[in-house]
This record gives sequence, C-alpha cells and structure tokens, in this order.
Amino acid sequence: MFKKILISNRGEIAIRLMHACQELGVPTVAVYSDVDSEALHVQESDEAVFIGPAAPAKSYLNIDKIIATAKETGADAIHPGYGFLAENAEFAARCQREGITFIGPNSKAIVDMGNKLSSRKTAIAHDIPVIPGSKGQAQDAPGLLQEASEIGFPVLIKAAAGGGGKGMRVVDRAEDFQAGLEMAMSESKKAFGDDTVFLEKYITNARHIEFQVLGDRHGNVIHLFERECSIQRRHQKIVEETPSPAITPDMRAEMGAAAVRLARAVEYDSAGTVEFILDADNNTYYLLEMNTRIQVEHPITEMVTSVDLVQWQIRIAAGEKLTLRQEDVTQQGHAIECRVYAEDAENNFFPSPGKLLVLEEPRGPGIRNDTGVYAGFTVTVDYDPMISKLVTWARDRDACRRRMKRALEQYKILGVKTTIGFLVEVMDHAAFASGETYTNFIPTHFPDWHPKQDDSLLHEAMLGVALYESGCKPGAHVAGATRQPGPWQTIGRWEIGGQR
Amino acid sequence: MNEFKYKDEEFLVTLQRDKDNFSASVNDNKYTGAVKYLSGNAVTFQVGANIFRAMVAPVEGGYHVLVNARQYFLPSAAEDDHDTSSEIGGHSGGRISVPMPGTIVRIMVKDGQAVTKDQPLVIIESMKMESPVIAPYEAVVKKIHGQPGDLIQLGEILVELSAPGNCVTE
Repeated sequence: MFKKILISNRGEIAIRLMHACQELGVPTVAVYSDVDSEALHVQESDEAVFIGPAAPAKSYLNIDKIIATAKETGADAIHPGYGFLAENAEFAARCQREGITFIGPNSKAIVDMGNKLSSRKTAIAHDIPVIPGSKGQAQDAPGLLQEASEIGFPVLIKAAAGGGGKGMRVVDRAEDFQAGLEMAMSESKKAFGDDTVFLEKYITNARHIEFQVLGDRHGNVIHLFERECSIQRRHQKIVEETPSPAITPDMRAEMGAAAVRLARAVEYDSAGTVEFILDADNNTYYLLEMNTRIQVEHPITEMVTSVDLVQWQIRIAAGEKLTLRQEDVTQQGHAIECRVYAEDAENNFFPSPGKLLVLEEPRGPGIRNDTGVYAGFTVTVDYDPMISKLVTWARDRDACRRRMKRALEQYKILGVKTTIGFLVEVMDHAAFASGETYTNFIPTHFPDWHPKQDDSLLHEAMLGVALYESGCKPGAHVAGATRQPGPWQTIGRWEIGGQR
Repeated sequence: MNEFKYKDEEFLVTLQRDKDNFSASVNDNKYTGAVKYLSGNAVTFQVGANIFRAMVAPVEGGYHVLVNARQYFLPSAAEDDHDTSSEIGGHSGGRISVPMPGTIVRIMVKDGQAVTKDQPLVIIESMKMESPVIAPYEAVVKKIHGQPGDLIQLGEILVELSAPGNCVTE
C-alpha cells in the first residue's frame, strides 16, 4: 500500500477520496487554491499545501506544481478524482516518469478511450454496437441521402466542425433531407466557416445507461451493473439511479459483457464507466463513450453492491489483485442520487454563489450525502456550484424515490438558492415514478420550470423571524428545551473505575 | 415588532413572549403558541396542535426563512421603501445590481441611451457562464458603473436607469 496519497482535487470528491484513504490507513495531502483555504477538503486531510490562484490552470490543473508538491510531501501516489487532471494522459504519463503512481488507468487506456474515433474503432473490432453514422466520404447531396437511407430515418445531420447545437438538424423523412441538409450546411458555414457535415442515427426516445467496470493490473475485469442517468439538464446529469427501470436481466448481462469486452480490449486497470445510449423504441444499445475515471455518480453503485469503488481503485493502483469475481457482485435494492447545486431555479438555473448561512443535512436509514461544504462556507464563482450528492437506498424503486423526496424536503440550506425544490418535483412527477425516464425528460416535463408559489406558511415564516429576533436580544429568555443540560453536565465529578 | 414588505403587501408583526409562551399578530391575524426550541438559526414553535420548524438567516435587506420545507425571503419594509423586489439583486429605484459576483465582459449600452424592456445592458461572467443583465423596464441609461474586466460584487450597483415611466433623457 502507498505511504501517502496526494489528492489533486477539491470539493466533495476530494472528501470522498480522503475517507477511503483514512479507512485504508493511508495519510493524505490536500492541495488548494487561494479561494479554497477554508474549504472542507483542506480540513479533512492530514497535510495541506497551497498551490496557487483560483484559476484552475494555475492550481488544480498545474501539473508541475502538483508533481513538485507530491515530491516535497513524500506522497508516492496521486488520486485525481474526476474532472481537472483525471483524464489527462499527459499527467498520468508524467506521474509514471516521476516515479509517482497515478491512481487511475494506464495512460494508453486514457488515450485510446479519450478519442472518439479510436474508441469507436475499438468498439467495432470487439463487436460492440456503435451509433450508425456516415463513413464521411460523401459530401454531395445524393451521396449523403444514400447514406441517410442506409442508416435509417430519423437521422441527425451534424456539422463536422460543430458544437453547441449549431449546424445540427434532425430529419424525419427522406423527402425532407435536401432542405435539412441545406440548412445545416449554411448554418455550419456561418458558424464555423466550414460546411462539412456527417450523419448519425437520431434516437427519439433515448435513455442514458452506463456500466461500472473495475479492472486490475493482472488482467481481471468485472462490471458492477448499470446506472441510468437519463435525467439531464444541458447535457449535465442531475438524477441517477440503479438498477435502471428499463433493462431486463438478459439485456443487463449482454450490456455488462460488452462493457467488460471493451475494458479488456484496452487492458483497463482501474475503475471506469462504459456509457451507452439505449434506443427505448426497439431496446437497442449503442456505445457512447468510456470514461476513464471514478464517476460522479459512483455512490449509487456502491449502495447496491456494497463494494467500495474508491478503495478498490486505490488497492488496484497499489498492485493488489481484484479478488472480487463477477459472480460475487450482486445488486441489492435500489439507489437514487440527486445532485444538489447552488443554482437559481427561478432564473434558468444560473449559478447562485454565496455564503451558506444554514446547512442541515437529512438523516436516517438509507441516506448518504457526499458533500464538500459546511455552514459558514462560501460557494465561490470559481468552481462547479455543486453542494452535494444526496443518495438514498431502499429495498425497491418506489420506496427509494419516496425516501429521496423526504430527504430532499428535510435538507435545509439558507444563503444560496438551490435545486432542491426542483428535485422534489422531479421525484414527485408521474413520469419519474413510473420509470418513463428519457434524456428529454426535463425539456418534456419541465419546460420553463418555475417553483410553485406557495404562500400558505407566510405568516408562520414571519412568526419565525419575530421569535428568532426575540431570542437574539440580550437577556431574552431562551426556551427551556435549548438550555436543558445533558446528563454529562449534571453528573458532577466522575471517573472511571472510581479509584484515585 | 417587525415590518415586512412581501410582494407589494405590507405586514406588521407583533410579538409578546412570556417565557416559552407567546402571543403574536400578523396584521389582523392573532396567534398564540409556545416556543419549543430556539438556538442559533433554528426556531421551533407550536401554534394550536401544529409544530412549525423554522430556520432563519438574517441578511442585508431582510430574512431568509425555511419553514417546514417551504422557503421565503422576507424583505424588511424599513430597509428601502422603493424596493418591491423579493429577490437579492434586481432593481431598486432604477439602480440595477447583479444577482451574483462576477466580471464585466461587455457593456452593451451607453450613458444617455434609451433602452427597451428586457434589452441587455451589460454581460457579466460568473462561474464560467456569461449572462446578460437586462433592463427591467423601458428607460434611459443614466450611468453605467465599471468597465469590461472589472470584478463586481453581489449587490453592487451596476447600472442606473431613469425612473420607471420616465423615458426622457434628463
């Protein structure tokens, strides 16, 4: 096992990684930028080193500085978490050259899976379905139409240079193809100065289903079942669950085997995620991509499998054999994760930074809250505004959904606006309750969402303020309940064993 | 005594406490009850058979309150007679502040320029996203505070507009 692990990340994931290290008995080193000097990850670590200004390029992405810090503190391994340097092959290779273990896959696997073209090639070579698309030779209208017919309508016309939805058109029928193509090409020309397009099969009712894999450095690879992450806003997952309400045991076995094949193909030797798109209209799945890191939503897999993915990731990096066999891993019950953000749901989910004045986390059986903040902490404008990942577990999906709704309602945050109210409504929605979860769930069911105006407790809120004020005044009487001394205060002098 | 202005309506709240018991009024409504717990930001009280669990956080201009999972912002009426907004940020008497700290990216209008409702005035960047600060009503720009690149703090006045209904250049 490692002597000391440097965590090159911040926020909830840094805390999660530190907890795993603490349980493995390995000391940790935190790194922090100037706005993070009071952050929770600094307080949870054994050592903390300041590495630069808030801008990620100058701190959490500063490879030279992080390597130097590992050497100065005597850390023999670095865990990058997710984001920042997690999928940076250059960083992984640099760690290796410097004699520091990168807690993640080998750098070649990062390169092979990081490039969409090469991962597609690898998938095809290993009999894993990829989204049907054009080969990229034809650029004339008749040639493209021919390709579109081979792919099958509806097709998506995409700008090769594209991004942000520009130069993108969905065409439902062959007779509309010419018009759609012209529009996509002209938009692409205007936006990117290039009218090269390619075609992809358009999936109307899609679900995002991904498989967790775990591989070691001795050739063992297993999967730990799926997570469904179809509830997305602006391509950002906000609710995840496992098992998926959509897939049958046969499909689970088939997709899991495909995920393992892909991981084996690149000699995958860490925790990773193989993402698929499931066409719900005909139950066909296609590879989307492989993420070569510990994923944000990994806790739900941990809840249903009782496998600590982060601890395994560290043990594997230290050279241990994966002793879990595929048949040892089972799915027990159901888990849901809601990502709680400091965002203003009334204002197009715009980030809402600020100081957390009140923070009370929900409690009870089957509740896990991975967080990196505390009451008094200021959520800054510099990083992702996630407050925590609230996870619930229960015997079945509906019990889990109800538990999540209850936990969200008992999650008290004041000082910043949060997505809690929105998430409560998602949990309450009939389509979610029945498992009708497609990637267009939010635009379909919550277009232009605004919080329900409910002033039924307005007077009580005002009474609360008046009572709060009465308690703040010097000499004010405080209700008996708050000043009841506990038994340890009233017991007087005491000692164990009674001997002096 | 507390005075609030919530959604254009004025509320006068009075409270008498005798140890844990209290009697209170919100405008013409009378309440009697008992305090169950009061510590830090937390206030739990009973009215009739009902228990209300409130969390109260005072901020400049009012109070954030959570009561039984419902959240309110209660602006203090005394703070600013012109402020009818129940939001942090927003506009008050033609002075527009930002809803969050950020950096000015672009200024879209000039001093003295007439603007229409919803017209973007300034683009600010916060948390890697750009967003427009828009005119809340038809007006004339009196003054823009700051330049591209300037850091702007929460609640800082960014733009001054002529009063609502006054679109004549002064």
